[in-house]
Amino acid sequence: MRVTSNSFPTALQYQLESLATKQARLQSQAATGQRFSAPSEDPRATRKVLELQQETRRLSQYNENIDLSSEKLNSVYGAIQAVKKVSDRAGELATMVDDMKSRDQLAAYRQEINQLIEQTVQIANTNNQFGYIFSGTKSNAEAYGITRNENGEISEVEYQGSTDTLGIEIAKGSQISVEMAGSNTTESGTQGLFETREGSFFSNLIELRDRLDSGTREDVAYIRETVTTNLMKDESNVIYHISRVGALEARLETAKTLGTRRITAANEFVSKEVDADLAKTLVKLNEIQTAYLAALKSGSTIMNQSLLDYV
Amino acid sequence: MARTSLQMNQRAIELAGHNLANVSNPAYSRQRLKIQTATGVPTEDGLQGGGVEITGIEHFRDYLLDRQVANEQSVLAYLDQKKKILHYTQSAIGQELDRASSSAEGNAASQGVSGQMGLGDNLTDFFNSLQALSTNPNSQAYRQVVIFKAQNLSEKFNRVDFRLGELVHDLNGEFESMVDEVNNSIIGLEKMAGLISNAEALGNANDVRDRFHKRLEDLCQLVDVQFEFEPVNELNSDNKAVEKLTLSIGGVNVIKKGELVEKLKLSVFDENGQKVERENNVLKRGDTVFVEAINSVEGFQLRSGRIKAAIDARDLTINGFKSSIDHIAQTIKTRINEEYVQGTSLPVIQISDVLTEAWVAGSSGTLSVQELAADLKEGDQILFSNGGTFTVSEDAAMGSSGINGTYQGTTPLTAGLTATIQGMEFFDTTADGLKINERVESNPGLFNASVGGDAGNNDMALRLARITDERQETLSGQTFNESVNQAIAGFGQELFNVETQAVDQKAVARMLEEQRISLGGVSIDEEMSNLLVFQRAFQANAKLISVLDEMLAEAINIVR
Repeated sequence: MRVTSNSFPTALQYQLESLATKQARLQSQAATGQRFSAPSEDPRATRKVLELQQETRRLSQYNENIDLSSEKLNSVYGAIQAVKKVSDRAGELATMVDDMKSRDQLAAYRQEINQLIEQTVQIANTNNQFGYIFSGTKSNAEAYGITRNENGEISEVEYQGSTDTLGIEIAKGSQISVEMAGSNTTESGTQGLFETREGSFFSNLIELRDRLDSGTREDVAYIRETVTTNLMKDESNVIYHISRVGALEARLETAKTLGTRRITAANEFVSKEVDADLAKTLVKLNEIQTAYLAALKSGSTIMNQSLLDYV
Repeated sequence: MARTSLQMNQRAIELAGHNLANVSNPAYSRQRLKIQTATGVPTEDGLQGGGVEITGIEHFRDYLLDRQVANEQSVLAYLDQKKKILHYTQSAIGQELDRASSSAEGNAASQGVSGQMGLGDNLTDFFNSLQALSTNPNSQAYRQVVIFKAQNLSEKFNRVDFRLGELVHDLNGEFESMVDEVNNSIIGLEKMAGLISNAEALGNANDVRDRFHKRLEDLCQLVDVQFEFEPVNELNSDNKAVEKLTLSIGGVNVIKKGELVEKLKLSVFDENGQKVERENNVLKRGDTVFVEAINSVEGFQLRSGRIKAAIDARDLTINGFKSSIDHIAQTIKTRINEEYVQGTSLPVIQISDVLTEAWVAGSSGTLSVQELAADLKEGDQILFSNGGTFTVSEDAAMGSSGINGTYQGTTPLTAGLTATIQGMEFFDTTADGLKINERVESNPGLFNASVGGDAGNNDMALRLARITDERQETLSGQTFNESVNQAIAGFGQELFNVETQAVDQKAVARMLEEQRISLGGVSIDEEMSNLLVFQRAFQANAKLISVLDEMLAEAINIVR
């Protein structure tokens, strides 16, 4: 092949351009830790990575939903525990009522029951950042409205909320409802905390208080036979809800563990596709830098030689 | 004999000088003096050598190689230009992978520095914000986040669409200067081809040929060119047939047997596809420019060059991607609205305490409400908490306390009742691209997160959030994200292919160029060594004259 005066510069320019481009790319890989960043650099991997990243974001959102549901569940659990204490005390008081008690003793019991009714209404109308937690989907309004008698005591408690509760997605296609309506006397959905098909906790407490007020032999007998039984049913309902909270907590924990595992797995896939192997990148960069220097050195040496220096 | 030899060596030295003068001129091909032994003089001892004579000047060009270089450079120009335009397009799409910003911590660290916010990322964020809202549909904060994310999504889609539209507009604007350049080149080539024919009739046209090929290769950067010098029925002074240029662009002859027969022109079509004339060729946005041959309407089909690259990038890639994105945006708008209108807002209306008359089913007139928190439009449906519906018959502005309309319901309206609004769209269907309904945008309480009117009901938020998993029939059975990812990866694949082809083509063009440099390039060392040979030969022949002169002088002295 005939080599002319322009052959060397032309070839050298091409070689230097090619090596400089490779150096720039390897430097970028070393600096960012990524093998590529633009879709055109690896279209197949780009699509896969975008899908995995979007999946990760969705899973993270589900995990946030789980965290929020746990927070809600804690609020609900706190309220149920308070109701449990009321229920325990009301049951104790109802059991203590008998013919041997004086009217003063019954009046004292009555007074305590009246306070328990006030306390229960207060619990039922618990309001936090999520709204009224026992109002079902009508969470912007108090769960229970009350009517007071001429003595200022609660004579009637009426549910104003909804029997529907909020369902939250904790995974694709998996929904959970950590709330419960204050009242649900229907056949469907989670039974209410205060009112079920079996009866109303408020009605039972009010009936207990009012029977204690008259305190006749018939009232005492009614309390011992009927009210106590009804309060035991209320107690069972509260225990059912405590168990349900436990089960929901376990479900939330499992869902979070699964979600976190899937996020970790997706991140590993993304890492395999995108991340640059730093050791290999730096070795390659060193190799290209050496070649660049060699091209400069050899090119300048060859181009400096001419017959002109000898004639 | 010595005189012709001196002349030959002088010409050879001049030619070496010409070669050296053009050593750095890439369009130049070296020339060499063609010489032969002169015809001998008959003597009684036989034929005696007559020295040397010049037969011509050799031009180191290869016709086949020149044609190949022209073709391959045209293809390389096509690929390089397309690559450049697609890189602009990739920037306009704005999809980058940034692993550093993938987690919450990384995202915070990348704030204002870098980040990954492509179309798909915005889409995922929007649907995630709906998921978040479904956990607390009462929350104004979560509602505001949904509005923000929808704004980001709309902005991203509209921005990409705008950028691509501007790129197409700029490409259309470049055609005028490129076509002018082509037409000027055709005229220049016609003139040069005439000079070549004339010069060759007298001897050689080497230097004009170099300039001709330079101009031809410049033209090949813009369009595909085929050329040939054909013999015509005309004889030159040497009784050889005169050769004239025939040159075609896009399969159509523009110079035929040395005559200019065709030029290129632009045709402008507006956004409705109607052919239009624009004053001073000032294009409007939405115009499309086509390059045509003036006389040959049929058969003109560019195959390579920068003009073809701009046409292909514009029509196939940019407009293809743009219409994919527009179609996805339109499907998002339609699908979200289709679901959304069935939902209800938060209770944003309350019947005023000063309501004097009871409203019963079928009543119409002005309903007294507490100050409106949002504009109401004719046809808006107001859903009261007693189950009744009020249909607005006249627009009412935010802040007013009376609404005109008709009430339908089973129980009368009474003071204090609250109401939600339903039937409002989320994305404005009258706007181009994605745009949130201004009323919802200014009042997050109007966002329909529920079905039926309960503030804590999240049915609509959940239904909207689940749309992200739906396979859309109009998107070939893909989800929104899959469709966006496919468009981006498809575009990336196209640019990847063009880059790969450009690398291959560059290798082909470089090899041909190397061959041409090898054949026609000037070597300083070669010319210098030739220079020494010619100089010495010149000196030797000068000496010969001197010796002959001395011999003649001696002979004259003998006679004296």
